[in-house]
Amino acid sequence: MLGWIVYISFLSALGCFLTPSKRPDLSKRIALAGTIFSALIAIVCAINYAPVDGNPVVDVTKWSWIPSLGVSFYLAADGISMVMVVLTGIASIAAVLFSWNIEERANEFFGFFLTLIGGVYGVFISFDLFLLFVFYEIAIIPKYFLIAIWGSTNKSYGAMKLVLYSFVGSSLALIGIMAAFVVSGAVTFDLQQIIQHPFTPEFQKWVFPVTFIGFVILAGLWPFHTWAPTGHVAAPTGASMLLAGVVMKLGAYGALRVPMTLFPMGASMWREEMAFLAAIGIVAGALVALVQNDFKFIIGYSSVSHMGFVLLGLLATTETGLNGAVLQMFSHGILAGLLFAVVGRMVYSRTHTRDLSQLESMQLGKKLPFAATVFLIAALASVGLPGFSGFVAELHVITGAWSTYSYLAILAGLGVVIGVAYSMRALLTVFWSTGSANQTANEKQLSPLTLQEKAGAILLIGTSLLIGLYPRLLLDIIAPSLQSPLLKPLLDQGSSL
Amino acid sequence: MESFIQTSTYGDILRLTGPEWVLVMTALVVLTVSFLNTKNNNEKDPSHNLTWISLAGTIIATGILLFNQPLGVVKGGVYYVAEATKWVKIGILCLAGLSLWLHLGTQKRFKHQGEFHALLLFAVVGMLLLVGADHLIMIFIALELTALSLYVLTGFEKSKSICTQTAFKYFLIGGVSAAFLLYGFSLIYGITGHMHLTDIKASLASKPTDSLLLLGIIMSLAGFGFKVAAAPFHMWAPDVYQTAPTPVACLIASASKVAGFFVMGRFLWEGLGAHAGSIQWTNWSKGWISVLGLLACLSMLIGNLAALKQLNLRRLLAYSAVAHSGYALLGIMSPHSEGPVSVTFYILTYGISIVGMFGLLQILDQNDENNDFKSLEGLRFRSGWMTACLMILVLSMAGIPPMVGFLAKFNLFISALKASNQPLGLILLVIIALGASAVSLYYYLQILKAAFSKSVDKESRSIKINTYQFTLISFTVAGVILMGIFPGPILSRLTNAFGI
Repeated sequence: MLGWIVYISFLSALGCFLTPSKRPDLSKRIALAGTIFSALIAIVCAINYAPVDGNPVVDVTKWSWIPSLGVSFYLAADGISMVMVVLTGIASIAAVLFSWNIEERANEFFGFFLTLIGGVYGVFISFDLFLLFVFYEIAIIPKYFLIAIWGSTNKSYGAMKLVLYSFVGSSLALIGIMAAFVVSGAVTFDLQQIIQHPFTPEFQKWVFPVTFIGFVILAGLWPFHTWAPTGHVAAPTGASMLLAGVVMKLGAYGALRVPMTLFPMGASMWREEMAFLAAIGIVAGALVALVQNDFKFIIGYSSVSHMGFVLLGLLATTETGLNGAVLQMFSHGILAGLLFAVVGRMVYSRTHTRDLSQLESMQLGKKLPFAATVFLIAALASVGLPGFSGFVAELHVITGAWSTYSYLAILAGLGVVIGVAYSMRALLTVFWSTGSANQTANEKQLSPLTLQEKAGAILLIGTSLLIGLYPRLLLDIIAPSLQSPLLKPLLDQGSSL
Repeated sequence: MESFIQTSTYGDILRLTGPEWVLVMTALVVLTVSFLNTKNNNEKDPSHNLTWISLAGTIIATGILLFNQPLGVVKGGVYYVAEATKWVKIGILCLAGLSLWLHLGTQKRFKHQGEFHALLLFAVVGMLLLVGADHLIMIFIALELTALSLYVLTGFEKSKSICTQTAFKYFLIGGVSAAFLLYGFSLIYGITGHMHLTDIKASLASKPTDSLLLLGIIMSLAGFGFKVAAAPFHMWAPDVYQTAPTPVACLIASASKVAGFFVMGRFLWEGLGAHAGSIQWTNWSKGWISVLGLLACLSMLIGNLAALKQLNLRRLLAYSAVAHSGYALLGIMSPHSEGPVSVTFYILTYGISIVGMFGLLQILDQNDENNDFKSLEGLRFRSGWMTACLMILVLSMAGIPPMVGFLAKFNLFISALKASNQPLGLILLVIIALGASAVSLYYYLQILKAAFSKSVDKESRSIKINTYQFTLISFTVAGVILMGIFPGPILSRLTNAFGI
């Protein structure tokens, strides 16, 4: 049944493309229905998820696609995939709700939007490397149109930069995938079969960094992160929610699923260097966010910082670290979406400015109390307020990293502290500024928040709270997957150091 | 039905070259019909009839290939018919048929339609002969038959001075390339004493790769490089794409390239297989792979970088075609079982998408009179169908799944990685190719961006599309998607045909 999340997304994308452009309401409804249906399927499947015969990878669909290349259309899921599809489901519903104000060419907007979601779902549940790559590429192109047509601030530049970075990254990843296929005898792209080939250490030594960097470009690893802030800022709200919420996770997920799984020896040779970059990303992203004057850029750079936690958790190559990385992917997916929703939809589409000094004079805390509260919760949750998902996630990551590289754990801790600083700065400046109010700006009335915005915000906050209070909901799903033959070699390499 | 013929009676030669004969006859019929029409001073435009007759000839030739084509060799090995050549010829005839179909959609017709169709058919005959040629002289004659017809066709609108100029340029470069090719062939003949490819192979097996042979290889590759528009022999391509009549440009870009690549591969694999050499990092040895590697690199880089700066869509397509030739050369450099299949699949599928692109350009031509980026602006609001088709074709050329361009490229790269006896022999070239693809994505997206952008002054003007154009483009778009999602039947057929 899980396969339907992909089919429904693509079918509703087609439906949106075919609706007349004069009926924006129709395409919005199709998009909302499509995302809700697939999210429900994802959640039901996650609840019913149980390893079959001790193998955490549960088959969904498998048929031979291109026999001469050993490619099969093989959809399957393990616990990590389950967590990711649930995240995608929830984030996509929220993103559709926050895109409700799109009137111009809404049919195309939601068409590209759902194509992107379909590609993302596909990556998360593909266990055939070729298929995974196909979905990965399908997810790239809609981003360009979403940003270049409906974006703001330097949109052509942001869109092109984002797409070229993604494409270069995917090309690097493709080199690794093709090399692994050819070296393993060129018989199959099935991940679970290809992994049984003993790749030599010399081979792993060069192919791991190529493939890993290829994937993590999309996850915003410093210094390959520069596409992320410009892309997020240029994107329309719904698209930046998806970009930061789920598309960046594609990179981290791909890095775990492909290079770290296939080349565990290469991973242990390079992990310190890579983990170091991840830790620099945490601190650098946070520091840059601290000095931004554009509200959206603050959130853009905070995403880089938070994705650094994901990568650090992965590269700790311990069970706690991986648990933390997956939790952080989920948590950041929800919270980044929420933050972008506040900045892009609740504030920017009403005030038409994102400049901190101008927002300061508007006293938004009084005019948009709901937005202020949501931002407060989101900011606190993302810097790790206990009770929300960010706390459990970052705790796991730092604990996991401590046992491997304690100095990097300290750097990450520093990142959390700076995170508090930039969040509070943004919060106080934008919403609860004590400075003198500008009379002319003050008189302007702002339209009240719509039902869709409130519903989306409550959905995201509720999810974050639920996971924060009861993280075992996710941890129990993840746990068996870490024992699987896929990740066992990686964790063995990690503990042997 | 499929008996193997190995003799030299005229009857058997006729049977082996059935499709070629049908096309020659069709060309003569076309000439006669147009002559009679001129004599009767018939006011009705006869050119549609001529195109239909030509199309019928193409279809009959395809039918013969499909259902009644004996396999065999003309005694002495001048010409041969095998499963592989059969399928490549079918591909060429399909692409030629699509070019003719494109001509049906042409509104502005120039004079001398009879000669136009006859020459076009002769060019196709040349391509078919080229595919089956197994002998240096035969290769040269077939190449010249194609080339001479195409020179004339390029300059067919002789009232426009730019067309004449382009045709002359094409002719000059082509003539010099032919001289190079012939010189290369003569060197190889001088070394081996043979003209027949298998004899050359046998004779060369015991000889070292000396500088004389290398000179012969380089000279021949210069000639073939011109045919497939590989840099640095690509100079003619942008002008020809820009000014030749659309169906002719389409034929040059698709069918002619298929034939060129096939014969180039055959010449290198069959004739010079022992002198491939190696470009492995640790184990370099001289041979034609090094020369081809250089051509491939130059084509990918020059093609893609030059395309970045183009403002005219046809010139852009020409430079991107140079880049695509560069990718395809990677497959030629894999002299093992999968190389031929991947090149053929790549060039055939690329041919189909370029035919669709020329169809779209023709529509724009007839509505805007030029083919620069500006003519695309606001297309989204003028014709949603055209924009969707443009997007699918362009993304296929850029190599984005699920369109066939991705799969063809992927297949090509995999076969390049499998090449040589040591694994990952050509990985450096594959990396360059992937980098070049990233560059190409930039200009492909610029095309789409222009189509999706707003243009207030144009949105109200509607676009006229005739039925021929509509069917042609829908067909190519459907082909690009279906072959991308279900490549199995074609790939396995080609794999069987190439005898693996």
